[in-house]
Amino acid sequence: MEFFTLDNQLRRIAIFDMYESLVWTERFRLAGDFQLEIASDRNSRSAIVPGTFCTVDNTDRVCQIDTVVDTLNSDGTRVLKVSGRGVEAVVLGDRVATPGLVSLTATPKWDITGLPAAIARKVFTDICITKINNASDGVPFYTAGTIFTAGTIAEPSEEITISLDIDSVYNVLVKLCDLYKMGFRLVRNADASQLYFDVYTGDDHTTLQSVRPAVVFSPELDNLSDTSELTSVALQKTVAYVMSKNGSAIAYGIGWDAASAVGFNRRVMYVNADDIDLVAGAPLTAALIQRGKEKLAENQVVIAFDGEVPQFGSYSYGPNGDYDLGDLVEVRSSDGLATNMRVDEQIRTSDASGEKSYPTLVSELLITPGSWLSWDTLGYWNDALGDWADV
Amino acid sequence: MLTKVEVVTLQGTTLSLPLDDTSAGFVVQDITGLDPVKSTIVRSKFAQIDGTKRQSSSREDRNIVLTVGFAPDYATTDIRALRNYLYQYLMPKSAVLLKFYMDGVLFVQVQAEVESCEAPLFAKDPQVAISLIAFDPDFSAPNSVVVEDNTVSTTTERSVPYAGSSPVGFKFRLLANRALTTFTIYNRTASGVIYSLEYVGDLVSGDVLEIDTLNGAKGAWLTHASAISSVLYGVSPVSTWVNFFPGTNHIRVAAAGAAVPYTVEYLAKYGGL
Repeated sequence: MEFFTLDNQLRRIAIFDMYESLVWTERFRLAGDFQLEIASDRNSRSAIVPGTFCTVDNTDRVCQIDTVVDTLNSDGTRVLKVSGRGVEAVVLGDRVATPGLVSLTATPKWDITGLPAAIARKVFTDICITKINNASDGVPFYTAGTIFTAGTIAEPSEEITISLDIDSVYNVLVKLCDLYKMGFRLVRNADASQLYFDVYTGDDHTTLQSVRPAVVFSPELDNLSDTSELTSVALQKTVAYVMSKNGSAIAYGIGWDAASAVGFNRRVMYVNADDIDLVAGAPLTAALIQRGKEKLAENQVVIAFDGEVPQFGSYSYGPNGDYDLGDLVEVRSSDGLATNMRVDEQIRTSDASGEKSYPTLVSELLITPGSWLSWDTLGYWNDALGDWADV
Repeated sequence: MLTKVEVVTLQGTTLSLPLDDTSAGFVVQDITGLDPVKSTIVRSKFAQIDGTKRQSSSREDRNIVLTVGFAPDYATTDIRALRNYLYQYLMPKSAVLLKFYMDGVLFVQVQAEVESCEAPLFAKDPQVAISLIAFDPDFSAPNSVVVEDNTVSTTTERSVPYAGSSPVGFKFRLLANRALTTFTIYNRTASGVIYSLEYVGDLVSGDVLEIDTLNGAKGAWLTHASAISSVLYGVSPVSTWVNFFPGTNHIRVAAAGAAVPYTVEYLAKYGGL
């Protein structure tokens, strides 16, 4: 892996291929980051300074160096320990998502109705492109459009109304994307001094489709090692009691309803929504249920998978590789159990022990109410409500 | 055949250690660490699959150990004097340049630092064991080779025999005598593999573009109107940093239009003697 520093036009200006270690992380729903350890000499100290943008080979992501520690160890080794965050966190973290600069006498909110992806794009566009708050809130080198082909995974199609507190654009995007299984990125178009913003959902690379080549990770296929699979229901909640000044509501998690969230399946959490000050009525109920769903989404069953993919394995990562961030891939355990998982993070490391690539996969089984998957596994046909429709 | 070893200090003084001549009072008894340095191969092991999968490989630094005995004439020198003489050149922490002569001709050299210089005073056969660490596992030729040629708009190649045993990068220098927007450096190795490096950027007559493909020194710099600036962004990100490989290399610098002169300069590297 080659480490590049960029000039003020976001073009590669210096290359570093002799370092002690480099860990470069790219994420689907969050900004990436990196840690670099390199010999401290005049060349590295002059080029690697806080505020400088940087990148590595085979990526379109950009980070900014924010911390440089020049250490002199007792054995005489002098090392620069460098770290930084993705440009998404740097730029969008410093833009405020608010529909206008107003006083705080009334709790300012930004109420937006639309599809989740459209809301994410609107927040970015209004603040950073239209610049509704300040003409200087734009993103340098932003270029309209995209350099990516559209993903094959459809964006969430359920229209929502969201009431945003004042927060950074980055935090708003993270919250929205986390909730609705989307990702966002601010990517560099090679050395063309262009940054593109993108809200995306990735490609389906499972064997359940035939549009994209399937990507199957399995120890049996010799392309996955050092695996660890985490499944936890410790924090799972299925029901939320949401209370505000003027009313309350009960919200159910995705796949649960009043009939199924009973007995041991009823895991209730309390949500304080005293910041929602709508008067009693349908809008208040909708807002409370939406808030409850948001909180329930943060308390789901956790299924995560870690594995190590050999650098020269059967699949390559990256925009031009076999799979990329946000893509759905298939993971098969040694006993044949298959799980569709989303590439949530990709960690690339390079040090004395070699160059490796580690994907972090998360379960992405989206259960839509009314679908077969939403049925209680302990249910009986005779207890099912409704009639068969003619097909 | 190895005939002489020279140790050159930072101050420019030279200690000569001929292998077949003891008149100076020194007998080179043994030299280890001249063969190829062992590589460390990193690989992944799978729980249920036989064998491993390659991750990467690299060579450590080179550890050369010189064992030097004494042959004093006891008239003008004795063992103590000879030992002190060696200390002037080979004190631990000293940076030195080791030169190795084959059949009387300087063949290769390597920079090293003295790790230890062990010379037991109370020994039946007094000798000094000097351990030196060369940070580069390769020996390098004493002089660089410069190839001069012109860009072509055809498929004509220029053969460059590379005598070294380790792949090595080179310094490419394009002396623009006309406007130029892009060119590609190709190298077809003796085994038929083709490597290419594409440069895209505006060059005008009088510009000097320098591209270095040597590991640790990679980069691209443009000298325009006496000002030097990095133009690394002109090197296509999908290019490979072209190296020379042992055997005959066939290079071609392709650019549309009239010929533009260029030079390629490299220092042959040898993985072992």
